[in-house]
Amino acid sequence: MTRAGIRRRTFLQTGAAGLALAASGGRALGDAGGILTRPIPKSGERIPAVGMGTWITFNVGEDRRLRDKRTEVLQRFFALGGGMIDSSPMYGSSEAVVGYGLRKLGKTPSLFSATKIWTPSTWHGEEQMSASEDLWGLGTFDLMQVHNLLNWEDHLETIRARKAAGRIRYAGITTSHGMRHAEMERIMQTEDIDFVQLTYNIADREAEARLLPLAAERGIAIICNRPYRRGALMDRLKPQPLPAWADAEAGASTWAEFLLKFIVSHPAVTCAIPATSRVDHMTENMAAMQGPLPDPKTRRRMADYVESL
Amino acid sequence: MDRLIPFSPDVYVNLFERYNDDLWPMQIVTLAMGLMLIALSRRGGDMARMLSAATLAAFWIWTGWDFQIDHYAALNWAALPFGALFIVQGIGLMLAGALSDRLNPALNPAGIALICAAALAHPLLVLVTGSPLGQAHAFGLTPMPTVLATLGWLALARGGVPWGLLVLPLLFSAWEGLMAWEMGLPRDLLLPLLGVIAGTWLFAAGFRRP
Repeated sequence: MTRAGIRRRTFLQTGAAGLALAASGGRALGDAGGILTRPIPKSGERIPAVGMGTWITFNVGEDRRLRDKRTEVLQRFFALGGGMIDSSPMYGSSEAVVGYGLRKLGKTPSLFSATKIWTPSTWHGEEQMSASEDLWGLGTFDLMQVHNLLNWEDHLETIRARKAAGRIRYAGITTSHGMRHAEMERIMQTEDIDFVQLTYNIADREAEARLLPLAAERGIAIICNRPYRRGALMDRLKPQPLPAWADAEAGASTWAEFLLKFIVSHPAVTCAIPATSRVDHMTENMAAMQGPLPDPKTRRRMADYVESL
Repeated sequence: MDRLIPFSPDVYVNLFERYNDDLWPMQIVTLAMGLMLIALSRRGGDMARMLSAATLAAFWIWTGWDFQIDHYAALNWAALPFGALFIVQGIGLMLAGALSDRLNPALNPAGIALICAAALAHPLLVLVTGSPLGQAHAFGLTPMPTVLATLGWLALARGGVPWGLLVLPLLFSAWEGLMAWEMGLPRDLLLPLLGVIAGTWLFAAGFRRP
């Protein structure tokens, strides 16, 4: 059996173990069962290194059939050791669909709930957080983030107040598409925040220069969005062969593993959040938490290979 | 632009399919109302104007309230403000129809063609592409056919068009065209394209009129 085949069998077995572990209240999964986890610097709490996003993929409105299909994706996510689910009021009905799925699945102890405030109005931010709680069916959120830095000064205060009251555990800020990095850097240097979410993938590596090192220095967890550039990277790469050394040196037997392992192998990265509406793609994504990670030399080789295609 | 579209093309198409299913057989009623618009343009006069304007106003208000706000806004943040603007447009159209005899309709091939396109073009495209008819943008019940039918009716006006009635149809046509382009839905490009051309032409005709 090939190394990839052995890893896949272990992964599926680990999925069953992960389910059992989650059922036993496995928030701090550690590396038990071979699932890659990363510590949140401010607390030391460990979370799985591959979470899931919900931009577009979970925005299906009221359609029951489509909501049930997304619930199947959630089910696979948790079965394979999933933790962080990231959403936002900006994502249409995604929060409602996540909430629908969570209610249908029942207990999901490994859930690490992450959403955002997305409004220019300070008072509306409070309302929005309460609305998110109702939509998700949760009394507290693990992580509340200021979406795209919109009115971040006031919203961070609101989030901190809720954190002090025990309704939120961590505070964060987000950007995407490489935008507003200078402003993000200033906030990271001057504000006490727990998480930063930004775009970082094998093709968009601007954050390597300043933000990722700064996060490591300041003890800020990093969530990486757009790991596949909303599918564009996959569309470009899937017709191409993986390099011959991908499995041996990067621990990757699929492009999903190749791209995600590149991201999560950066020492400053806490979690990547690929979004998908498909159960088979969820399985591929979660497999990136298995097996070896590329070392720095291999990471450079991976980036060069993709650039050469 | 893709950052502004928070849903996938299949979910968007599914929205229209479910909406049409929920409203069936209203589509037949609104098509009959479209025929009435054309018949009224032959008649001409104040009564024809007021009835036509009221019909189109009903389309705008319904589409703004039921489609945009009640159904589409769950998927798309932009549907809420557009829904409100659609309702305002409907009220504006009703008032203009009640007060302005400049809008008295007359038979005009371009206007009639636009009203027919609003009613038939998208359903025909859906059928030609082998998709279920339920995916069609229904006349009088969904935004772009309402926009295009209105531009067609305004093109029938004997005395020129108040430019205030053109702003939203033109902007919305451009917006919908960009959305269809970004989502890769070529069959959804035709109505917005016709809307942009018709709206621009009516604007320009209004500037040229002494």
